[in-house]
Amino acid sequence: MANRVLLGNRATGGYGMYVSEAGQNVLTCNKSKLLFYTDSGETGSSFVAKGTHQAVPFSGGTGSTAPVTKNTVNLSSASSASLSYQNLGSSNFLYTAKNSQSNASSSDFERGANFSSVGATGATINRLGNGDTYDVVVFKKLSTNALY
Amino acid sequence: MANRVLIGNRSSGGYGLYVSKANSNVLTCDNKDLLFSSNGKASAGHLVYAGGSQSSLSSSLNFLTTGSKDNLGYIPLVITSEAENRVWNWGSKSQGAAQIQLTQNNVSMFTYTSSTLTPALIRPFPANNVDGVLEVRRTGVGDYGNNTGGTQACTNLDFVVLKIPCAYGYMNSTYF
Repeated sequence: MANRVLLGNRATGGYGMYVSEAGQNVLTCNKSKLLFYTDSGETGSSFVAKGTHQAVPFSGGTGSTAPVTKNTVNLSSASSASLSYQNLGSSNFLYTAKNSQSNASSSDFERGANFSSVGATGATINRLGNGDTYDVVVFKKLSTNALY
Repeated sequence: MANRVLIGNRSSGGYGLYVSKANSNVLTCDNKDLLFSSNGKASAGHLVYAGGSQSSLSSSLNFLTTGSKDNLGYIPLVITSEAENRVWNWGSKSQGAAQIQLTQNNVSMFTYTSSTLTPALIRPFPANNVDGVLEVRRTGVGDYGNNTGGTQACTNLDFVVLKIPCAYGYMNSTYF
């Protein structure tokens, strides 16, 4: 079984905590085979990742309660609605989609939604065009920079 | 300072390696406050290689620029969200002898390479779209004269680039 966890001085990367993929020796493997690496601000060929992609739960995630990460919003009549989610920090972005209409109407329509007033614990979903329901997921941004 | 790293037996989760967020006690915190758990169903979770927020984007954006990151060697999965999250249909119209109906199943289109994302457009009217996908968005005039869609410029864009290969032939153990 390969060494998979290292707390200490890695030959490539220096002091830190490292976890490798199954079957990969954490002491010597290529950094592309690391599942986790304490980011020390490395750049260029040493770069591993900015962090872990995470969904922000609308509810749950505490104790034995499973997190609820999808919220179905009904905008059949209302043009907007308020969303509330748990506070995992102020830097979030929200995702929804309404694709692949199997039977396009012979009359004009739009279906979609976007978001405004995105904060640490809530946002507003705004309907685009005709009424519908939308599945929404909240993702963490790892930075507020234009590019990171 | 809170305990942040545990290699051992956590009361919720059992034996494994755990890392908590800043100020969260790794021994007792909720699962949602863990940055890393070796017991996660998605192994370590999906790593974010890059990301960003753009008030508008009209051409290719190189997401490797910050930190001069290495090219991953494959086209990664990019999750995007923008103001144009919609489908659009211009219903049945008569134009002289022609009966026309235009439909876009997804206005929020992008093309991707191993280093860039570019706002794109699949025009719904094939006769106007012999090139297929266009790496540009409509900014005013529609596909078939005015009032057939108007501006579809990419604005208020948020995105994350995940270390997940998203191209045929790359979804294997070599790249995961």
